[in-house]
Formats: sequence, C-alpha cells, structure tokens
Amino acid sequence: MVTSYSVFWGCAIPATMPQVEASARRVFATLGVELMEVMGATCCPLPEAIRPVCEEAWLALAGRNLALAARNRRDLMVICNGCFDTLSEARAAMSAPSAGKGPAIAPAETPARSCPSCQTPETWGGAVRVRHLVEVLSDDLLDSLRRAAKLPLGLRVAIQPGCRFTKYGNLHLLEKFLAVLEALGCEVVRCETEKVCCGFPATYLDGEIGQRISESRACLKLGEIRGKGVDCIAAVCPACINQLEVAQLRARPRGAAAGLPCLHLMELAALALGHGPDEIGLDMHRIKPARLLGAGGGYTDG
Amino acid sequence: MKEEELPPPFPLRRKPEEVVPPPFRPNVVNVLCTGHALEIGMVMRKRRKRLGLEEQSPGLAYSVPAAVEEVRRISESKRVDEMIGLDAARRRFRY
Repeated sequence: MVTSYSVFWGCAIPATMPQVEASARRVFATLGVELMEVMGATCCPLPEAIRPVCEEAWLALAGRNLALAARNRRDLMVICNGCFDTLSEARAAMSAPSAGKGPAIAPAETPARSCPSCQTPETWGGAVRVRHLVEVLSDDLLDSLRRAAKLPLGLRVAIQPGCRFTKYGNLHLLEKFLAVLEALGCEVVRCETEKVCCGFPATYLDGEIGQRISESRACLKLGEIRGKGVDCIAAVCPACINQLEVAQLRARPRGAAAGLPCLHLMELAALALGHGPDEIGLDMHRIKPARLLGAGGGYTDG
Repeated sequence: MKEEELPPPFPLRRKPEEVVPPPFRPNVVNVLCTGHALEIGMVMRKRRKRLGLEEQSPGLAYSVPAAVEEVRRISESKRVDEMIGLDAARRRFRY
C-alpha cells in the first residue's frame, strides 16, 4: 500500500525557496510516498501579521485550510515551522474551544460560515491530524530513509531548529530532528545558542532598531557555529534560513568570515538520496554551498 | 450629565491611525487580497520551471481563483477590511 500524506507548503517555500519544494518532492517520490496537494490552500495565515489584526479571522482562515486538508482524508504534513505552529494552534482551538488557548468560538462559527469550503461538517478542520515534516520522517519513514540513503552525507552540521519547533519547551520534535539527521549520515554538532531565536521576528520592527536587533541575534549564533568548524547549518524553518543567509551577506562588507551555508533538512535528505545539487537547485541559496558540496561526498557545485 | 457630554477618559491618547504597523502592511494586504503572504514573482517562476516544478505551485491559491474569493468572504464576514481600513479592490490601505 502506498503511503500518502496531505502536504501543506505555505507561502515562503513555493515563493522564495523552490529548491526546498523540489527537494521535498524528489525525496518523497524516492521513498515511494504520495503527496496529496491541499487544493485551494492559502497562507496558513501568517501569525505575526494576521493574528494581532483579528484573531477570529486568523482562526477562520486557518480553519479553512484544515477543512480543505481534511477532504484528502490523510494526515497533514507541514513543511514550514510557522505554518505548523499556526495550524496546530488553530486545530487545538477548534477541537476544544473552551479548553484551548484560542478564543472561545462556537464550532459552527469556525471556520467562517461564509466560506463554502468549510460548510460540510465531515470536512471540518478539527478532524485532520497536523504533523510536522520532521515528525513524519522520524516516526513513519526513518527506516526507509536509512535504506534509501545512497550517499551518507558525512557532514558536520549545526542545527537551527527555530523557535516554533521548541515552543513551550517541547523538545520531542528536536529529538526527532536529530534522529533524521543521523539517519542521513550527518554528525550533529550541538551549540549553546541553537535554541536562541535567529532574529527574524525583529525584522518586523520598524527602522534601524529592528535591523540591529535582528542582525545581532543572527551574528551571535553564527559566531558560535563558525567556531565549531561545521560544514553547514541544518534548518527546518524557511524564515531562519532566510535570516541566517541575509545576516551573513550584510556582514560581508564588514569583513566577516566566509559564508556558512544554511540548508533545509529536505535538501540534505535529497543529497543523501542521490539527487544532484543541480537537480535540486542548491545554487539558488544566497550563500552558495560550494565548499560544503566539495566536503560532502565529492559533489561539485554546477 | 449625559454620557455623550462626558469628556473622553484619556484625552491625551492619540487616535490610532495605523492599525497595521508599516512592516506588516504588505503581508496583510497580500494575504487578504491574494490568499498568500508572498507572491511568486518572475524570477522565482523561472527558477521553479528550471527545477521541474509548476510555475505556480499546484493547488495553492496562486492558481485557484475561488480560494481568493473565499478569503475575501472570510475577511468581509469578520469585518477585517473595515477594522484595518483596507481597500481590497486597490490592494492598499485607506489610511
């Protein structure tokens, strides 16, 4: 029987990191896993921007996405940390409105009555199980991943799990992340600052202050990681990847050290499964991973 | 004294003119008008094509106009446009 999951891509990966989407599609195809698109999915929606404006609308839009995913009658695998956080919280709030942290909105009103996609009770979003990509790989596909890994990467990697990954001190996803990296043949180098925020949220602050806070956070992490002599940073959050790359580019004119590539877990998995760097578009990163590719099994950066 | 004759409780408080702070505005407009926080621009379309992906991710609101209509309906039913002064037709804020 073919394993299949609904997949939620979010906005950042399709619109800014197609290499991650391409890697994920190739990895799951290699593992014989079918990905079912959530037809008509929108932004999760972005918690930083939409939730403070109107929590009810935020919940209704998230509920609409969950209702659409429920139509596929599969677990919903979420590739992006931010989307995972939104959809998990929304599901919890809708499943038990009075017990959850979300607003007490009657289920009949959530998702919005005005939205045709959310009308049928059996497709109501509370039914779908929301799972992070790392959880799926670790719990369901770890053995397949180990068997399929043609090129154990042999890389020393630092990790950037992202704040939402370890939200409320929940470390079970972090352990699964480490297990997946080890299955891919990576040596994980632990850092004291690995759970420190990358600084991306500060970019939403207006003006120079936001810029400075955001850069100082990223540089704090990058400084420690560089000192550990790793080949790259393994991340699962598109915002963290973006932030760590941009911070390095901004530091270049000030004479900062050579770039430290920051790759998504899916890209590392695709490399381990034998997909070439050109095929998955590794050159699309702002910090080109040429040195990493030389160190990791003789790849050349085309 | 009638209620409407009472002085405002906080007379020095400035009336909020920008419900949505400037750094969030593009994302809020995009989500409420197109369904996604980020649009897939020309450069990314070319990159997606090079990687064998569809130019607009399949199934997402980018390629499903009905999804955008549903987002608009939710936004209107929750009176978000009114709250934040969004002119959805012109994809910009009134103030």
